[in-house]
Amino acid sequence: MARRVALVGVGMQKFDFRKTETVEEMVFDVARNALEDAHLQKENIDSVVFGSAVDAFCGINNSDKTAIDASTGLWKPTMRNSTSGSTAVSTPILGYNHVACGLHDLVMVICFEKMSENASAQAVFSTVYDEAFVRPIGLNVPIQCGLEARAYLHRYGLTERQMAKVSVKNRGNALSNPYAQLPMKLTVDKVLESPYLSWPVKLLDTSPVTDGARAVILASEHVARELTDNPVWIRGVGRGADSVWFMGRKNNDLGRLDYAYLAAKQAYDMAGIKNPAAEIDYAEVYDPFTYKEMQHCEALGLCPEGGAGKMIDDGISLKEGTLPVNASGGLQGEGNPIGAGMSRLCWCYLQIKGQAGDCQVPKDVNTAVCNAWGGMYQYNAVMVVGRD
Amino acid sequence: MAVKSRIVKGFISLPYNWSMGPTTTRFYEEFKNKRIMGTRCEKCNRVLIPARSFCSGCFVETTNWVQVSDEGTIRTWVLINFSYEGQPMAPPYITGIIDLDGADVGLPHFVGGVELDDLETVAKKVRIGGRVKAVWKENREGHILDIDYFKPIN
Repeated sequence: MARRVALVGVGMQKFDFRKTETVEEMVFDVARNALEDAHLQKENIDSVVFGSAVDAFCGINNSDKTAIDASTGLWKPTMRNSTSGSTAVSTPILGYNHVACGLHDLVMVICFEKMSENASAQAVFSTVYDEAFVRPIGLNVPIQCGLEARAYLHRYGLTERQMAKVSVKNRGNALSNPYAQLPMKLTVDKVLESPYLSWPVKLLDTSPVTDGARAVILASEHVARELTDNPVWIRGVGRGADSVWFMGRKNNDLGRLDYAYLAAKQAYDMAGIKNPAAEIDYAEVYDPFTYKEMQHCEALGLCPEGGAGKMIDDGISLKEGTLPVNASGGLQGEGNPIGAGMSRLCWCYLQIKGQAGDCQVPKDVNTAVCNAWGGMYQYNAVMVVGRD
Repeated sequence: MAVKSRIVKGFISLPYNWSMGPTTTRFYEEFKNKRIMGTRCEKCNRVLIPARSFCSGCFVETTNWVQVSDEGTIRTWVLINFSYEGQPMAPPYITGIIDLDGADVGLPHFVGGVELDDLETVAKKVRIGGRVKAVWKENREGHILDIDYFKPIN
């Protein structure tokens, strides 16, 4: 029987081009912030789990070792996880596994990515494709996502205007987030006027490259109850993967993320959630591109399949809406340091604790969900967190 | 159709702009003046080189700068006699870990100024516990290779 696992602290820092810091110094900052937030000493941590998506971003292979000294990991069991962008949520799931199985009582989870070190993030991304079939065609993230976005809009009859509303919402929300790289007061027209990168994806549909790290500390039930009267529990976790040969899947329509529905179902089954749209109070949804927030809202059951356009049109996902999504600004507004997208989980925790500052939504948050996506449309990882 | 499995040739070129941070930057800047500077942890008293901004053992910032000697002791050494892509110099050559006087972290660098033809002669001049001193280059740019090599003394 799996033990219950609680979140007992988070380590935040501003997402930005952090050019006066090494990777190690960047990680040290969030590790210390997390210890302080959880009122713990480094000696209390039993084990450290690292998440970083692609070593070539920082240009140091096996970059997890670079983080050991800075993470409280010295002389302790450490482990690194990497599932492309979904590292952001699959890494805290790995940390969860460490505690749930009874191996450790306090686990530090640290996700980081220093993307400003390389001269071209898209050149790095092009190296994740196979050497002979797709790479010579020059696929990279904006191109791949342009293909996917068109299939998605086409399948469900959604519009670029609805995508633009997500950009306005998230970049606007980021104005209240002290850790955000790119807060902007926008209008739908301004987003629609921004240049196409890969039609239908425009510049202002796209999250910015950045540097940053996040830390969370996970605790077993008895330790969590010593630290706090009202712990925030990890109630459900789920992961899904689909074929690397994305052009030959069982479901050939790239508009529907079967693997994300799968990950969400696992997490909700575990959490005992039957109707997410009614039972989830708050969501931090992976939004590297605006349409991905829409796809993920559907896969997470926050709106009906194909209903993400109506969700944004009706203002449901606004900060003051009935089911706010990305009140932090999401990746669009806060910045997208791939692995450190674990910020989505951090903001769920802060919203439940009532510690989200100016990003706090004007409603009670007891149950929240976050997800992350990665690869060539490969991975999704979902986590449900909440109070008893 | 019977085929012979093909090899696809590739080359990955990725330019980088690595952030050094002010602490490491100063460490290398001091090389221009032939000075090796470390930071001392106020809690455990260790002197770290390259100078680092925090002590990983104590988890505190380190802001005390101290100069360490450019002389030290060989902790271990190796004679390299094979070639690889991107090698800093043609073999044979010697790389060692040098414990500089006043530092608590070893410095990996070359050990030079020794004829390498005869291994027995090499082993007499280069040994664990043997003393070495930095040989600085004339033109120094604030780089680890501003030290040309460490030369056995005594």
